[in-house]
Amino acid sequence: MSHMIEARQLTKRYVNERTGREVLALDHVDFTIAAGEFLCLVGPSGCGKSTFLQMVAGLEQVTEGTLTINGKPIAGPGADRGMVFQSYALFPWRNVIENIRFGLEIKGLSKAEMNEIAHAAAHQVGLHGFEHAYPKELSGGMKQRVGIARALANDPPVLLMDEPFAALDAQTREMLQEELLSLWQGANRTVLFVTHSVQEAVYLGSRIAIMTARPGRIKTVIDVGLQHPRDITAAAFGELMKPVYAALKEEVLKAAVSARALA
Amino acid sequence: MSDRPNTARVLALGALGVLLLIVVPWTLAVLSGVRPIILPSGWQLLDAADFLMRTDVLLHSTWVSLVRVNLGFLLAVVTAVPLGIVLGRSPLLFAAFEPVVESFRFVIPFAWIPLAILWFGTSEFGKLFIIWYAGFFVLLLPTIEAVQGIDKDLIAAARTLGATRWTIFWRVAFPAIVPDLLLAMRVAFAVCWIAILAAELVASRAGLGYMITDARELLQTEVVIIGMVVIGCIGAIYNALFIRLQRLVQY
Ligand SMILES: Nc1ncnc2c1ncn2[C@@H]1O[C@H](COP(=O)(O)OP(=O)(O)OP(=O)(O)O)[C@@H](O)[C@H]1O
Ligand SMILES: [Mg+2]
Repeated sequence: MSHMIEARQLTKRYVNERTGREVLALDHVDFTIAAGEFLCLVGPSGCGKSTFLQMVAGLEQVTEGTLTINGKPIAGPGADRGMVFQSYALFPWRNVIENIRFGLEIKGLSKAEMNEIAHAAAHQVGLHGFEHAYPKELSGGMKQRVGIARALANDPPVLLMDEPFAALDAQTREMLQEELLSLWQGANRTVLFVTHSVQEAVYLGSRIAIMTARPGRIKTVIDVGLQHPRDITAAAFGELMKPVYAALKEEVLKAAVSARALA
Repeated sequence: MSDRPNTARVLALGALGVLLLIVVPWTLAVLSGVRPIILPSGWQLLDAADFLMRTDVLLHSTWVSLVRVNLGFLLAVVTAVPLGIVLGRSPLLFAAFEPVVESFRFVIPFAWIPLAILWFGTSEFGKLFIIWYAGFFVLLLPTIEAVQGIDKDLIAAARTLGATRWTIFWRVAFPAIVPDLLLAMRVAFAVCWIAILAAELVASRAGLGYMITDARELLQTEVVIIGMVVIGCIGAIYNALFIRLQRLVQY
């Protein structure tokens, strides 16, 4: 089986341009994400989850080690990896269709092709009837639908999502989780999903990777053997949440201790 | 969003304001027997305006000042905005420029008159320099802040969608800062227009500022007041134009 994304001894150090101070965000991470899996990444705040995602996206440079996609080192962003942001990151001066179309404009498609793909993507995420609305006129849930459709319009084999539903209310979040799962199941897509919610991770993920407190490493990886659709009230579901929760709590406490030591 | 008030009511309220705040107190003062040299009556003002129109002095002065302020303002825009974009992007350059920028902006345009005369003599450059200077810093800092304030996720999103640097600049960064730029330009134009008086103190032979200074020396109070009214009205018109422009880009 081909490995979609592979990190070997991956290290990330940030250097503050102004002060010259260094932060070790990721420390020799070894990790493999298989093609087609839905991987959830959890860990204490500041452990480097976003950093890892941004390196996979090609937005941040690798400091040491290697990070490859299908065996090729990741050198920069590319249309083969779409990203969805917690802040939605929609262009406020573009309406829904124009936002979804952004990546297609860059590819240089014809207007007719662009509109066809953009409308299909809008339809797919339930934005029918909102094509000409501007971001400020949309609810949080609708905004994130645009964010997802914009990423999907490029038809990327890898979808990177950084706490995409964290700012949404519980009902909207459940609906979007549901829709995301059907989008994932329909296509052979790899999803890398960062969340702070253990329940969300167990509900969505094929595997859950738990990271250590900063500097981030992969602490453990847990296989979620449950079939979709999953029942969050089932006993088996609760049993699966326990080890994830325990491992996460241990690291959150460590992070708190080292924060107090610094203060 | 607040409801847009209806136009007729806004105009009526504005007229009432002019009446109560200016016309009534003025008329009372004139009726109480203030000497014309201190405060001329409305009729004397109209007389003087009529004279200024017939001799072409008023239109010519206005034209000269408008050309100057537009040129000076334009110079300020084409220098301050690109520099602001560069400084907004580079923390290192910004650190180098910050002390200079932060101190110069407290030196008002009037303070530059002696140097402007020494450097540029009676040429047009001296006047343009004062106006450029007035607008420059008012534009520079907001431009820097606008660039620094661009949502990083917008840039990241564009990059993950395959955008090049060029595309990111023109299709993401630029539209993102346009509303802030227009606001800064509105304020900067006002400051440039206010500085026209200072600029035309620099060995000038024409312009509204010159007209006012000249009339003061000749004790022509009516002309001074007419100059002030014209400056105020033109300022208000430009302000309204900029507000229109700003409305076009309210995302
Ligand atoms: N651009 C940057 N420059 C310097 N340090 C950074 C930068 N981005 C992140 N860091 C630091 O790297 C560490 C990891 O940050 P990261 O954002 O990846 O954490 P995270 O796991 O996503 O946290 P959270 O759960 O709060 O989102 C943190 O200590 C953070 O302060
Ligand atoms: Mg994060």
